[in-house]
Amino acid sequence: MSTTVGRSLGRYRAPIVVVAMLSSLLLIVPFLVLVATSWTSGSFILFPPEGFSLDWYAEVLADPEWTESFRLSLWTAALSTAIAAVLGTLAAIGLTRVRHTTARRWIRTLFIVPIALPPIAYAVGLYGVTVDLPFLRGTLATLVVGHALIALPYVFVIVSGGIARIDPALRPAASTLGARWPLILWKIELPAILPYLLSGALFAFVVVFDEVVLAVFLMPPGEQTLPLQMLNASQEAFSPELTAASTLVSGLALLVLAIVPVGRVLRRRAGRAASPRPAEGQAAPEGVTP
Amino acid sequence: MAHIIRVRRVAMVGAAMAVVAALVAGCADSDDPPSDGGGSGLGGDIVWADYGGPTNDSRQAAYFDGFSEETGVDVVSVAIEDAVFNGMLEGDAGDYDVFQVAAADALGSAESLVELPDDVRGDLLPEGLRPYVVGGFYAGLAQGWLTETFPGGGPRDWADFFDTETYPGKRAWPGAPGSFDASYEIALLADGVAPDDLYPLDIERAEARLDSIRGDLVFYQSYPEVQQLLTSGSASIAVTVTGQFTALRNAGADVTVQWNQAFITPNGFVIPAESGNPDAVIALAEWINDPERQAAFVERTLYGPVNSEVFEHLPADVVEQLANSPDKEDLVLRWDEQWRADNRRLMLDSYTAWLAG
Amino acid sequence: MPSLTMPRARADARGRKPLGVSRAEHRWLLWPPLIFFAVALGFPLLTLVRRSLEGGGAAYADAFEVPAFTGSLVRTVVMAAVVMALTMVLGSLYALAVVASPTWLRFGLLAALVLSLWTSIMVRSFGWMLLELPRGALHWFLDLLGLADEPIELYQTTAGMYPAMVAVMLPFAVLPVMTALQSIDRQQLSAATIFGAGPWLTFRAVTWPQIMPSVLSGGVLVFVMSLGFYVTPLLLGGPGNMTVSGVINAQMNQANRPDIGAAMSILLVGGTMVVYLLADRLFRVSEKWG
Repeated sequence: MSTTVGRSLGRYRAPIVVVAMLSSLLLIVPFLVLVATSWTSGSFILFPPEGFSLDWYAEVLADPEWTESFRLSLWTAALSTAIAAVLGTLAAIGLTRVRHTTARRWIRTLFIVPIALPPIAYAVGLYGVTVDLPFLRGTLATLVVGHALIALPYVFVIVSGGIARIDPALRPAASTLGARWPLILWKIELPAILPYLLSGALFAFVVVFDEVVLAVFLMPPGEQTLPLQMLNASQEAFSPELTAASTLVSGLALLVLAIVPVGRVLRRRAGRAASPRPAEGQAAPEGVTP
Repeated sequence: MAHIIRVRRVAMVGAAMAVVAALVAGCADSDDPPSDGGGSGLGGDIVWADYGGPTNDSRQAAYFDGFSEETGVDVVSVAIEDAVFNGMLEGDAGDYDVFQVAAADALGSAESLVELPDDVRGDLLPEGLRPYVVGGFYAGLAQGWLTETFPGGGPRDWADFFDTETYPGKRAWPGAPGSFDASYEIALLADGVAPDDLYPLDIERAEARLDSIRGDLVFYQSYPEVQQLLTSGSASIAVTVTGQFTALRNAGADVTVQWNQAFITPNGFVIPAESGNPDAVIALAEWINDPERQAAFVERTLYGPVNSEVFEHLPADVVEQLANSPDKEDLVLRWDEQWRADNRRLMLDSYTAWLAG
Repeated sequence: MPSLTMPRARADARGRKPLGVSRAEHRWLLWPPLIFFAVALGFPLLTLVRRSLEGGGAAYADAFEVPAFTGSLVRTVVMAAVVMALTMVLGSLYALAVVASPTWLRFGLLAALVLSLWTSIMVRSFGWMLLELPRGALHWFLDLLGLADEPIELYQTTAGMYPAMVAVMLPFAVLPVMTALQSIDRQQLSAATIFGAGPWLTFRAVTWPQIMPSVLSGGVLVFVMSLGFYVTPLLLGGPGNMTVSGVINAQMNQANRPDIGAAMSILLVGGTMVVYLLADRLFRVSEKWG
């Protein structure tokens, strides 16, 4: 696949790749600086770091405050992302069924509002609700719901971009053949937008995983998400724990990125062994979808 | 038939909602109920809202661990959020049992605060604050630099700070929206206003003075950035809370702090009327007020004590580093906290506008 | 994914609402997200509106009295537009490069995205600070090469701010386009090449129409997200680049005027919706998203 698109770019291919490599420096260089600061044997973040030690990694991994907050962040973010993924996809698909152009335009705009709303304002509003409804206090429910709302537009926007790619002739065709809408949704539309759904969910997860403003307002006392713990580590002094923890998270993510394609190749091999010619129609996106 | 289908659908909706409810309930924290009034004796938890970091680790070690062991009441630290405590200062409901404020915040809201018994009050606090402040401490706001930067001695007062020829290099300066700190006072002192004539602040004159060195300022968004700015050599002088200079010293840096014309201000915690566990917090306040425990906290953080008795429990080399040590009385200045409380909005809006340029 | 018709036919099809959309379909697809929005966004927003109207609407007038507000509002919109333009161009090229690169380079480019995306934004801004300080990592590196003696004048300038903001946004522009590129119709590409179309014509006639909806997705996300920039421009661009989020935060927190903060937030959301609706009209996002 890569070769097809690559070949089609012809003489523009090399300059495009060069621009991309330069752009990737914007992403890599600050990261490397941060990693370097986490090696320090000193007690705060400095570049160039003083000496070399892995003490701060040991500190983070041994401290239950860090590991617990990581676990908590992981599952609350997963829950919020799951809600956002389901509802965001329904919203994107459902909107294509709305015939009225103006209504469609307004509903679409509505689904983007959560990104435009300043987090502090949303947090104040949500906090006001929990103050009015005391049974919500001391639980993580409001945080999960709030995060799901913030995450939803990412799924919605990316999936909407993907729906445009579905062949408009497929639905009527399937419908004529007697398929009802849930079947069409399941067999035609969902498989087609799955890669977009995954990208959208990835964004949703990453955004929620890093969200701190709502967490400051809504966390039950005594519990910390990872961003809150990081905030704590940046009060009064920037502790190298901060960059060590952040390097560990990125490293883990990179590991997952490296494992996913390997897993996919293995599965494909297994599939090939079972049936010599995989069905063409199932064309899952090749390459890596992190 | 249609009816049956409808019933089935309703049942499905119900099932779906039950799943969602179960998921949400799964995140509810069942084993940690919100703190209650305590009833007879002390009970429940204390939700202690603060800015975290090493200072609160010191509180944990100097105060909370012993208190919890003695009374069985856990002190749970949470990250403080201004918008929450501002509401509580006006009498709104909120989650905090006790939270950190600056002097000016507490002064304006006495009627929504719980008063402390007479024997738990810090005698070094300004009179208006004494009945309300738990776990108070003194912090300074001063200029400081790495000693090696100015081998012949650094700036001696704020006028020197504005002298960029004699003392070259960038100055680290508060740059977050609303972080006016002592910016106007410093500029006016440098412009020749006598300390007694500072208030009411002449904001226009102060901003004109600040404009004169704007190109030499490097702004920080949060205090700890000062450590990077100074140690990397990106700034030669920093104006910041003295806790930052303490942190640099603890990390092995040789720092000079200019206490002359530095500002000192009390900070502390207050108990809002809506506090869920005021009895336990008052018991904690008593615990903290013990001079020996306070001395342990002061030794760890080098923040000044609010009880004069505490000085008796401190070694001389610690005392001389404190913002409110007796020997600095003639050097340091104090804000007119009441004026600042009354004119907070004016200072904030004009400083934010000055920052934005 | 192979499609039965040319994708261009899709864009030309007008009045293309699919046949046989049942009411049940509406109910099941669009209502769940709408109800979720009514609860999770409606209630907090209601609290906010109530709060902003506490003084009988005076907060809206007061908002414009805050001296930094209007200036920061204009600045924020300009900043978001610049970031969006830069990110969309670089992001599309980046996505093309990922798909057109040999495996090792593709992994490198993806790894850069993942590492950056999974590092907390707070920590990332901090990495940029360490990099750009007059005697920071960049100076240290140039010094190694013997290129720098004087401190670098980049920290807290507008030029120092945009690279960091583009870096934060880049993944959000790259991933949707990459997803679209991975499922591009390769037979069309091959056909175009076989029939002698040059790289530019192939791109314009085959590739671009297929990735354009996703480029738009990325652009919408990046623009609306960029309106929320707060610490990054202040830290790296200096206080002269204060955004409206900074002003709102100051009102909510330091000024203790949540009513003004709420009024500003509602104005910001309203403004974003107007901008979005205008863009929707101008660029026909709705139609391109199906």
